[in-house]
Amino acid sequence: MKPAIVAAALALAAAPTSLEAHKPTKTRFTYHRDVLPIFETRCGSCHRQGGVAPMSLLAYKDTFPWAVSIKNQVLSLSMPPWFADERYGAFRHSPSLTASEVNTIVDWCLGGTPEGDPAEARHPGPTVETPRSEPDLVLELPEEFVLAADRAEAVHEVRLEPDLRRERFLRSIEFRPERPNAVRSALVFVVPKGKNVGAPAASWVAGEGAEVWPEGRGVRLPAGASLLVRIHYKKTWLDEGKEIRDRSRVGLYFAKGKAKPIETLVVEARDGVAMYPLTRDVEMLSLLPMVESPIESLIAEALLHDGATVALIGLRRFDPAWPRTYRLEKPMVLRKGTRLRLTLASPDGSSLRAAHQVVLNVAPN
Amino acid sequence: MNLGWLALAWLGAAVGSESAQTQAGEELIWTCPVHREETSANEGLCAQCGRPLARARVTVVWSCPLHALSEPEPGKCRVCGRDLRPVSHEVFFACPMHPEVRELEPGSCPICRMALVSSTSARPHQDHNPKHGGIFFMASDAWHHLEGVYPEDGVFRVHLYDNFSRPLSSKPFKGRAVLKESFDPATRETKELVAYPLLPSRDGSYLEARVPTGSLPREVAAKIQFEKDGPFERFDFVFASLSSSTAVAAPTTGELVVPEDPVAIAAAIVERDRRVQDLLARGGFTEIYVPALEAKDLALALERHVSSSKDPASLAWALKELVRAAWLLDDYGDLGNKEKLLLAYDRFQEAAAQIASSYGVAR
Repeated sequence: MKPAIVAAALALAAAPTSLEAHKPTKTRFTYHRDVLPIFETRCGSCHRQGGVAPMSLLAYKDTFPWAVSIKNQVLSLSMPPWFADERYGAFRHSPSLTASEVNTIVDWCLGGTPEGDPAEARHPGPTVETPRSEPDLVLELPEEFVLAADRAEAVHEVRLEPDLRRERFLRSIEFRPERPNAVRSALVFVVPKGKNVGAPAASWVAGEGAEVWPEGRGVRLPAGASLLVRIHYKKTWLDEGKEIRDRSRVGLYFAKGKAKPIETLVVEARDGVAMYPLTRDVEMLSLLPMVESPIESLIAEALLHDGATVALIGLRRFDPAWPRTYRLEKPMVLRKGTRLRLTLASPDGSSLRAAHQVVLNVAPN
Repeated sequence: MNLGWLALAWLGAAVGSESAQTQAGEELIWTCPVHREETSANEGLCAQCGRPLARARVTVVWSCPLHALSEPEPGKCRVCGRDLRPVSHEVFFACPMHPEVRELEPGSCPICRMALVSSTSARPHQDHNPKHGGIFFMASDAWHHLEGVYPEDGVFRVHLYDNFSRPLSSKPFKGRAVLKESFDPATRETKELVAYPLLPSRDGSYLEARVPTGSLPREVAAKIQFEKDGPFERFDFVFASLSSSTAVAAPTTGELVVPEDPVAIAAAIVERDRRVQDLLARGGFTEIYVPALEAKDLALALERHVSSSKDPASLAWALKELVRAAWLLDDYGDLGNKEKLLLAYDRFQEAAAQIASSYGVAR
């Protein structure tokens, strides 16, 4: 790290410069004034006391020992775990860092991690999407799930029975972990009465709030339907060797009366490619990549009638440990006959034999 | 700044005052009493050993790359006439009788009551200047440093240093000079085809490999084992000319002037991209940080023009990618690892190309 040498050389007029490195404190950024607001907005929903991350970034004493690790994670695109390339579509509540935010964090990490004055701190708080009311119905796991002391992670599936006698439309499905530091992600499926499988209706990943669907649209919950919840438990190193007990909940938010039903289209790629023709007009609201292994790139595009191509989403260096639904900034109307193209590439250039899916949440247009 | 003057100035300072004051050109930092490379602007614990950090006073002095002489001002070495280079030193007050006494403030020795005298010592990692006219890199353990030298056709030497850039005996180290390799993309394995052992010199001042004579520029990859049974770490050297201890190449830096016009900023980034590419091609890895970090600062200046550009999403992506890649080039340049540098440069170049395209600047 040598930015300081530029300044040093200037201060010393036309003196020859040297190949110096690793200056002591040579950053103009301080934790409280410059770095904490970024951490609060972009990282704070996980990196807080009791959050899913093993260290908080919201207190100076907890943060500065991790400076080298923070720098490496930010430069390698591993953190924040967002992966969506903004050249391919705009999404709500992105924790993605801007150029100056990347620079502020890295410069501070390499420049001696000065604390600064706590009085200069601003507290923007994390930006998390959430329904602005209490849920109409809360369903709790029927019994505690126990992650044994000798297990690091587990996937647990459980059926929840809303016991509804008439059809309802949901404007949001909110997963609420009881133990946020041990629950990594969850998927909620709507399973019609008498069936064993259903369509994925909502997803949740640590640090994220519930998706709130636009006015007049909702997920249809038929009378007698149940919810299948698939929860991924994962301990951090802080909980190694400890037994974890969790009884998470699912909150349901009912839409008033009828709504346009949100449905799922599943585009499945084999050998890394897929082409899916739309048989009706739809309004696309969000996308959920369902990928089991690390992916170098995933690109979904719409090939329109007029020959134009519209990018829907582009993921780079996707880590399946962070499955999330990407919620479009603005719903996108796609006409009948449009073809959806999905292209995936593996990290080492080898062929992708396994099937990979992208689930599109759409409403009829 | 004259260190003698500094000592005099401190004679009037209050002994044992709670808050230390600095003189012009000085900086107060916190550092581990054992691991001096661990520094912080704040009180805390050493990341390596957990000891509480102690205050230290740091200043810049002018030092000869070859001789252990420091001057308060820039100039020439009194012994050999080489240009002096800035090196960071720690300033402290020591007892002439008790070397363990090392105080931040002037005063008297707590053991013998003798007056403490102003002293300096080189701080770790502040001197990456070649001592023998070669190319200077840091190992990934951030403790070992090394300098590759090609003093005459067919002779490749590696001098080893610690984190204070103090010479280490070459005898405990093993290494080889690799001249030719093959890479199999299927297995992603590199095979050495032509390599020569790097053997310690009789006096232990360097490792040396006798390699076939050849034309310049000369590319040699040194693979050095720093710890017994540890991995061999790779350093890529490119010698454009024979190493000469009287001509040490140093990067030229000047004040970065950021143009107002976004097109001119984009053009300046393209120019820095060319310089990075040129340095990569000729092995000037230790200098890459100069154009890379300048390009980064130019990219940051473009950020306020994003919303008025023709494709804001692509430009915003390119700016953040360039900032990330520039920091990586800075990091890997220190380590002299060509493979990592090339991977970081792929990202840098893609971002620079997007910025150029956003503003119609020819590359």
